[in-house]
Amino acid sequence: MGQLSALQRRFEGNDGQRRLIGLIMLVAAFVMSVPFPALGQESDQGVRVRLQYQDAESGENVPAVGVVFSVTQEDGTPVGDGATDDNGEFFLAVESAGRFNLTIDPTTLPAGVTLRDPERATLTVTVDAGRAASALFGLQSGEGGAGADESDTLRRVLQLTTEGIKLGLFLAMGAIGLSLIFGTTGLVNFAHAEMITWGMFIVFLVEGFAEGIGLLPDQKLLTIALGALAALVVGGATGWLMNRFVFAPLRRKGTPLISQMVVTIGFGILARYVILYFFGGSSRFFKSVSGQSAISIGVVDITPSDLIAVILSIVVLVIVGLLLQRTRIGRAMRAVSDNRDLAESSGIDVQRVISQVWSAGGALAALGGLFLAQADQVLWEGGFRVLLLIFAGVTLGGLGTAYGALVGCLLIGLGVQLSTLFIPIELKNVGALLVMAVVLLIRPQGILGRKERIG
Amino acid sequence: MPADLSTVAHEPGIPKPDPILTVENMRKTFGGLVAVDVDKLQIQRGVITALIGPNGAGKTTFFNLLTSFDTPDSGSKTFEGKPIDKKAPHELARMGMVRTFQLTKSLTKLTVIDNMKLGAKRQRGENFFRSLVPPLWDAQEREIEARADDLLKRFKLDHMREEFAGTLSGGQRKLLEMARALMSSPSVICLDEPMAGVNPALTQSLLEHVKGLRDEGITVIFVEHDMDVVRDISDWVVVMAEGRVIAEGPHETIGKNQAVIDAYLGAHHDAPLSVEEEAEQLSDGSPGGAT
Amino acid sequence: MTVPILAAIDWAQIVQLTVSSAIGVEAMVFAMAAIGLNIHFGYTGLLNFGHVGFMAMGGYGVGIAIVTWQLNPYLAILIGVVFALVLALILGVPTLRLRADYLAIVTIAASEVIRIMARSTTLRGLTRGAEGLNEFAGEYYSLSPFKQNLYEWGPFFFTGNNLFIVIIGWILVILLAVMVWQLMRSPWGRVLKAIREDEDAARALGKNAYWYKMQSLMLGGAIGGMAGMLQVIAKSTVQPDTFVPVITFFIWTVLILGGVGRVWSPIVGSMIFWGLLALMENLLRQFVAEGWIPPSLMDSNQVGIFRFILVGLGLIALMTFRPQGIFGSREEMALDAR
Repeated sequence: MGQLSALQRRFEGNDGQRRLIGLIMLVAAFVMSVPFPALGQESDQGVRVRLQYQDAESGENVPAVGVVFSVTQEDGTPVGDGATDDNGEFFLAVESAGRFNLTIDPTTLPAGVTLRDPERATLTVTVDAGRAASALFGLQSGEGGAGADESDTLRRVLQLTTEGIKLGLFLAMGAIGLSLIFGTTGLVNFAHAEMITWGMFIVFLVEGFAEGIGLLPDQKLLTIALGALAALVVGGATGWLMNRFVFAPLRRKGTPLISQMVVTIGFGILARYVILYFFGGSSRFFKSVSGQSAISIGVVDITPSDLIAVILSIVVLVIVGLLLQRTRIGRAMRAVSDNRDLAESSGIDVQRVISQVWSAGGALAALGGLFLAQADQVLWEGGFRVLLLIFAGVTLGGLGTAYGALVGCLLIGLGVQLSTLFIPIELKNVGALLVMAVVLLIRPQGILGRKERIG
Repeated sequence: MPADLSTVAHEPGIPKPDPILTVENMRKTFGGLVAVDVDKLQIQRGVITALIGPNGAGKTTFFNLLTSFDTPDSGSKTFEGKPIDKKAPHELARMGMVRTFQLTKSLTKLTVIDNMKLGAKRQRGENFFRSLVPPLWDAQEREIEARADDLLKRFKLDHMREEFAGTLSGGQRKLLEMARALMSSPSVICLDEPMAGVNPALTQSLLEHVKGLRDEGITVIFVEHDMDVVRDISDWVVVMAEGRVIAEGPHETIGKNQAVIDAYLGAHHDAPLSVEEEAEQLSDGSPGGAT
Repeated sequence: MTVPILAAIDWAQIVQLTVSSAIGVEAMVFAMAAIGLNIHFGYTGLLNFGHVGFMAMGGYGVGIAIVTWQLNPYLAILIGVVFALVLALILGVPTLRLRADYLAIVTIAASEVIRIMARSTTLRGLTRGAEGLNEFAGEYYSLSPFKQNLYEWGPFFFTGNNLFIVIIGWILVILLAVMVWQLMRSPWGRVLKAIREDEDAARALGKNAYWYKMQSLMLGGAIGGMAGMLQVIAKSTVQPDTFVPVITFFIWTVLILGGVGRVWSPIVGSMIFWGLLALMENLLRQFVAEGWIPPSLMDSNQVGIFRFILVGLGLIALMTFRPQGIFGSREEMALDAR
């Protein structure tokens, strides 16, 4: 209920007019995403650690309090140090972006708790301007775990492969919609990025709501599940609305595709800055999944929420594949993608198929936004940051094919992560984009795309 | 008629006395579907050759291969005795082989006269640096303009001179495209269904223009799916079906050829089209391959 | 209630800020950049969604040449142009043979690659990372005849250096516009326009479409590079984060506002664009400052963001209702649909 009173405080002025404005804004809140105050942790440029471990007796995750960290620049110049607070959190602001070494003092860990990998007491993180970089220290209580004597490189490769598949799957959630919209209408939807960002903020708003009605902090799983459901529904509705009220009329008017593409750019800018306007530019994290410590599967570390997201995205992608392959709607979508005129002449309601593609694309993108944000952060330009990777994936796979989009995104995800074996982390996206350019040179129609007939 | 085709046997792939264009073993497949598979074809200089065949016979694809707008899986071609396998479309055009398109490509936001002037070859002002200095190309431009005006008069488009090409009717666009191709003084002109979508009243005048081209000594190849259209004007008819050349000869003998009758009236017209054929027909009619 | 508000607005200040913005450095830089983009998109039909990449190449070309390589400032300008031309070649070789959408994706990707590379620690020795290269434009300003610190005409004022760069910039913009006008009435421009309308038709008529597209990409790119140079010289600093993708779409808005494929549209479009933005922003700022807009709805920080929202809305509205721009003719646009 604290939520409601906070809202009231925010909108209640000393005269009736203000109250009226407040009321209007409240009604608009669902659409325009008025910020719920006191939500999320704001962060500035700096280094962040959340330290938790599984208590050996209760099996619950408990924060590691009072653990000392020191931060130095890459060349060893000290930046500062500090200790984790009662939530097991440590944050140190840094003045300029760059790479920093973060060292944990293992002697300050709670009794019986050790680093899972004693060699990883110092981690290097890259802080982008205005962002917080998180570092993950694996802790364990009790005896030392396995993996310490594994070959370090092999483990890194496996870890990065995992990260790559994870990223690729999350990207694919957005890419399939993008690709299907392109396939059925010929339109490259630049606003797809904001459909992803929208998904992040839908879940964020659901969390705020859950906190308001007391679901959080206890019912984390329920909250995030509700968030995912809301992302699917609201994201799908957004896609449907965009087609119904913007792009369907433009198609009817015979607006050239390039003009439509510019409209999607306009929408992208509009949505991105509306979100920035109401939510501000700081990073936020989902309370229902933040602060999880990684679990080990074999030699690979992954947080439980990442693991669930990966499994869910595989499930969703398989369902999408089955829908495309087995159902009438899916077959109609592929038929329209394949040859619109032929589909139309064989009695398929092309406009309805396009509408369905937009809805499905919006829902998948929003869910992809949730997955991406739970692994990283909720940010006003979160979708835009991955848009180019998604483009690269879609282009790699061949514009307009759903399976191509999936394959392309997996390759891009793997490429981004594994390239860090050879190039600095800050340049990892560059590598992926260069790969795209090279593939275009060799195979312009993409990996799974077909050559087109001229004339 | 410059050279005599009367001695040439009426069989597919037969050599001609004076070929300007030859094709050998040309093959093109689209995802396993054979679109073109021509063993041998020679085009006689200075005559009108009609390339006919039912829808989906691979005529347009063959045309694209001939003019390098598409690359064959295998095969070779020569023009005036020289191999032209590696030539780009614009190089072929400069060598004297121009083409038109089934769906007219009149440049809608250019005026009719600009459309015409574009057709002229070897323009000095088409070089970036020279274009900045008008005196270097003014004289040639006036020359080109005069020639363009002559052709416009001949094709009865002179009253549309300053209009955007996009305002022309379908038939007028066909005329403009033909006239524009003539601006380059070609030795071979390839017309892809020049009669398609043209108002019947204009068809006759279009056919007269095609005959006029031959009388000027230009070799004409044109694609047509309707056999009746070619009857009056073609000197030689090449029939394609399912990607192959199935018959050659003057139209009198072609009409009686059993293979041709089968191709036109056989299984294809009785049975419904297969999905691939339907797709190909549809993409035949789609602009620029943008499917 | 509205009347007292209108009366209370400091109109003199609003007009002064609006006009200053419409003829200021930004308007000049964006007019020039839009001239380049107009060559790409307006005349050749190339979908360049990474124009800011050319600006970055021009800006960094100058900055790197002077600060890092310690070269002569006039040679530096040449290097800036060469940087932009090299980018055009790198982009053009793989993509100009492909469909238009690929160029769009590759150009926007390239502009981001450039920005990420420029701010990376890997290239720190060359570009000084996120801080960028600073204080290198002194040599250019030593040419300035405007030695006073401040020049005032009624309510308008410019610093000497600003006045210098704005005047030089606008002269260049007009020269470039005249050059484009001459190019587009020549046979060279005719080929470009033919490629815009239908590339295959141009090829069938013996024009090497690929090479002309490359020339167009290089010319427009070089002009974009020059715009970037003027921008960094005006600010005397070149920083990676001034070259974010949204800048490209500002340039697109400028171009569409004035009317795509018209010689003077980049200039008119840019002046209107920046004038309107300044007008809206300053009106809102006064409203906020006077408390007419409750702080819960908009604070001064959000006023700046609101500009971007307006650009997005403007882009949608223009393309939907007036794709020919403010001065373009509806008839010409209608030819597309045929």
